[in-house]
Amino acid sequence: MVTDIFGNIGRFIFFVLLQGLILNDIGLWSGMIIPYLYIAFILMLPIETPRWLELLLGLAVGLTMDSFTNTLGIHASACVALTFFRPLLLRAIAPRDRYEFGQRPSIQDMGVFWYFKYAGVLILVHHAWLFFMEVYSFKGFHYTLLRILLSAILTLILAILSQYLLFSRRRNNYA
Amino acid sequence: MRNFFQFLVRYHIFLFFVGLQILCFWLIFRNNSFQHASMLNSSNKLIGNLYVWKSNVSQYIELQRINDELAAENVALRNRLRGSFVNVNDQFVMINDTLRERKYIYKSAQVVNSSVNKQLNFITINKGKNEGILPEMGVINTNGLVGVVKDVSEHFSTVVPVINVQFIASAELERTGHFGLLRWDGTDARYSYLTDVPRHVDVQAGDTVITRAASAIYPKGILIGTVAEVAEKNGSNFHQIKILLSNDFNALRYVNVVDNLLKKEQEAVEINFENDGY
Repeated sequence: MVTDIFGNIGRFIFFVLLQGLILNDIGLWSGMIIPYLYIAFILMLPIETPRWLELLLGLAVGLTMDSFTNTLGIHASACVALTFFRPLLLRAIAPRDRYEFGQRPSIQDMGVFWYFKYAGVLILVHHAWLFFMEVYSFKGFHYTLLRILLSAILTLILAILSQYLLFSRRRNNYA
Repeated sequence: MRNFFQFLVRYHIFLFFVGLQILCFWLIFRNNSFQHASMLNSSNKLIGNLYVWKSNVSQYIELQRINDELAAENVALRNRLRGSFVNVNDQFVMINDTLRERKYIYKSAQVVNSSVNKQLNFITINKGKNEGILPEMGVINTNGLVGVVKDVSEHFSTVVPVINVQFIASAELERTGHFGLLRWDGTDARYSYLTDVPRHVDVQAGDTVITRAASAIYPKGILIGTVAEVAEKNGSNFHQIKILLSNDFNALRYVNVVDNLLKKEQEAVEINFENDGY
């Protein structure tokens, strides 16, 4: 349990710094595609996290990101929405015999196909919320929609890669 | 009453979610006004220093180009020194010219972070309140207009650049003298748009666009860019002018912050006719 908390704090710092110092500068096609990988912190929270705590963590990581990009409130709002929808989605795509205790929402524990559904939907929710908040209107609707889709695909690829590259050794703990 | 409590218990997570969203929206609306001070932006100490560290790393790669730019500016300034001129007429010697009063003071600052790929792009610079930088000061560099200061802390400031969808400035066509509003559309960081120029004005591709000093933020005549394309919209009385910006916002390193010493005086005069209802 204690290592769990430290692990989550470590991931918070790691993903926020990665996003703030490196990924925010990536703008393929003159700013069309931006990966927002920092939400991988939220995607990797334990399944049994209390919902109120999850919402507060979403607010915290969102406000931290806003401090980097000077857009106070925008990332926070998108992350709070993401943390509100995550438990609902987890319930909707639960395996037939429910989650086992200690099971993580990761490729190692749940398989690639499950993770693809899980991360894909949540990344789309977050990016759609974020990009529409950022343009502030539905002006240029199709352009924004295209940005959301392409950015979400890139974020999803990076999220899956980071699962394999950074966090694969965890499996041994449960084997 | 019991039903009400049951409702609260049943939907407490949803209500908490709505509460947090209201908080976020309140923050967004508050952040959109220029007149406020907030801790949660890149002018705060922790993130400002992170950005300084990042720019120290990336700056090594660009030292050559930065040196070239500074050398070119040095030469341009040296050419304007009094020593570069000879007196044509030595009957008059200027001792202390009281006909001219200083209006603008420039402060040099270094860009420690900038973005070009968002709708709301920002720049963080390494000078703040301690160096006399205040919100709503203009920011320019050798190539032309950069933006306007938004938040300041002791050691850092954030700047809203031309390529932020919330940026608006009054701009003028140098050749014809007609003016319009400079606004970015949020797509390409190399181009911006000049709106509200009437259709009868003869605008041509290649015309120079400069600042107009209407809001007392920038000096008059700072280069913004050149006209790239003039489009006519059916039924509109105004040109849609696309401007190729003179600044490359991907490669900003040094900027000058402009302090207008007569700004208070100009604003004090202008507030009177606003109050009279014109």
